[in-house]
Amino acid sequence: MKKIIILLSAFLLTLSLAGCGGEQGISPNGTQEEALEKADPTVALVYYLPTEDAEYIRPVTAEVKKSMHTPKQALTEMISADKKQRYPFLPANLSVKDVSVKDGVALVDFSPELNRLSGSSTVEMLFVNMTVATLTEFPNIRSVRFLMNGDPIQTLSGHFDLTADFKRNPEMIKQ
Amino acid sequence: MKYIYRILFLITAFTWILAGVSHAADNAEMTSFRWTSRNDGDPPFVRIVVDLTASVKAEASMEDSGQRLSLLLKNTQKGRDLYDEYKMDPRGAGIATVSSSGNDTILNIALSQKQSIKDIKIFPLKPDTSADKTHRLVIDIPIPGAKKSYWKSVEDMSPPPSKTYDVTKKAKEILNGKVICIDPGHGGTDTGAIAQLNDKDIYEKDINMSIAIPLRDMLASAGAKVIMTRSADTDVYGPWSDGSKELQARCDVANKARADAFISIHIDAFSNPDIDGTTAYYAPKSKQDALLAKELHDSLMQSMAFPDRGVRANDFYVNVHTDMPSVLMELGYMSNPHRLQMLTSKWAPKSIAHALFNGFISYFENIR
Repeated sequence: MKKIIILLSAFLLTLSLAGCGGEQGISPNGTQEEALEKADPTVALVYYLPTEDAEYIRPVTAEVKKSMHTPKQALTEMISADKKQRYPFLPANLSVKDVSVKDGVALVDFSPELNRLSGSSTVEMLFVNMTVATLTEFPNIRSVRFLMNGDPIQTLSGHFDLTADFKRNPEMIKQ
Repeated sequence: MKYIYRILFLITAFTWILAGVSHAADNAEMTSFRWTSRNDGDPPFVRIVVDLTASVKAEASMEDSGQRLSLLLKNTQKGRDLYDEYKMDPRGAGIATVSSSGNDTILNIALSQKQSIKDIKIFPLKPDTSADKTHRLVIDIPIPGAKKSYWKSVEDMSPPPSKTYDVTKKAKEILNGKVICIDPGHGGTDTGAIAQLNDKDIYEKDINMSIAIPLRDMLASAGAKVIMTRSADTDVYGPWSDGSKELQARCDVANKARADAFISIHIDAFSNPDIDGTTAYYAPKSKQDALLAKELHDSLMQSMAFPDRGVRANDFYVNVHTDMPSVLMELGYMSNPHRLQMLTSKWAPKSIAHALFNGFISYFENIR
């Protein structure tokens, strides 16, 4: 019984904390917001999602603080936007560990959840092209190499050759 | 000292909270015990599923020897239909016993090899009324070092016998002597996409094979020399090999045979069940690659009612690394329930194979 009571109170605590957060959001401090805006203006960040028919990918523009306008953030937005789609297809808890850029090549390191990407040509094609298109929105990135947990990947589910560097494929993009 | 691993089933706790019920579920009953060996994990594992009439609290513990796992299901009666002992897969867990102890039920599982409790997955499943399933507790016991191609019995592994088809004179004239490599996608430890039909797992690798076999026989009946990357439910390079070795092995089969054309047969899948259609993929390494993809695709579109997802250039491994014109055909979405019904029917694989066969005739006629 004790454990149930502890869990119950933990549950209530979460509820009340959530309540506090909501109230803060309703009454923002105007002057502070303005100061923040000056130091860190809002800019557009572009990432890609599948089209409804899952044949192509389409750009989505999000507003982010300039300090958050990074390749890693763009992919993080892409992954969380997929979750909000009617039919998300990326594995739960997938995250981007790191994106490093050298000589125009972005090395994107995904978390091991990438292993759980469901296996099909459509899934591989959308995931690869969404990632590459999102990253090549940054002018210093011309091609993309995929890593998982710091190691190179050979294939996802047996379709693409992932040892190669990927370039942006404009034919996959529907505006 | 026993290493005790306590599992608090959150759904249990939350169900109580949400329902505002203060008493513990003291009338749960364990009504069934099932087990199966699964090869769709690395390593393969033994899965035990017990049905429960209500959510329960459970504690798992492992003896120091690492060879005996105990599960205490609190306030749970042992159902009348349950046996005292279950014989299971000796590679992972040989025997499980079910016994009552006061108000609780105890599951003792004898493990064939020393294991750490951390490697054993224990999780609850909520009732699924649409599938008529009650509360369940699942125990997954890995089989370390299992022979990973342990999938089907030897009898099942032999390829279906070849069959002779009546083909036209024209087909014979055009296809005679042509070397064609057929690659039924995935196989063995790689299931490809998985879908459910009537509560049964359907593997892409099996549908691929069901189309590849009649295609092989039709082409052979017309005098073509057909090379298969696999003729049974096996890996081509080896079990659980890394992806590119497996895919390269398939290309090697075609390259060594100096095939005139290569076809990899696949079934697609996506999270949205409405999506369906066929796509022909090729690597733009020669004009013939695109032509082969177009001819096979056009022939399918002519004779089958598949939504058209087009002929697309891509960098799929088997298309890039084969020396001859090659195509990867995605023949519908098994995530689409109607398509899955069709693909698993008796007639469809043969009809699809026939459309592909006609596509090969058009292709070879075109490049003459």
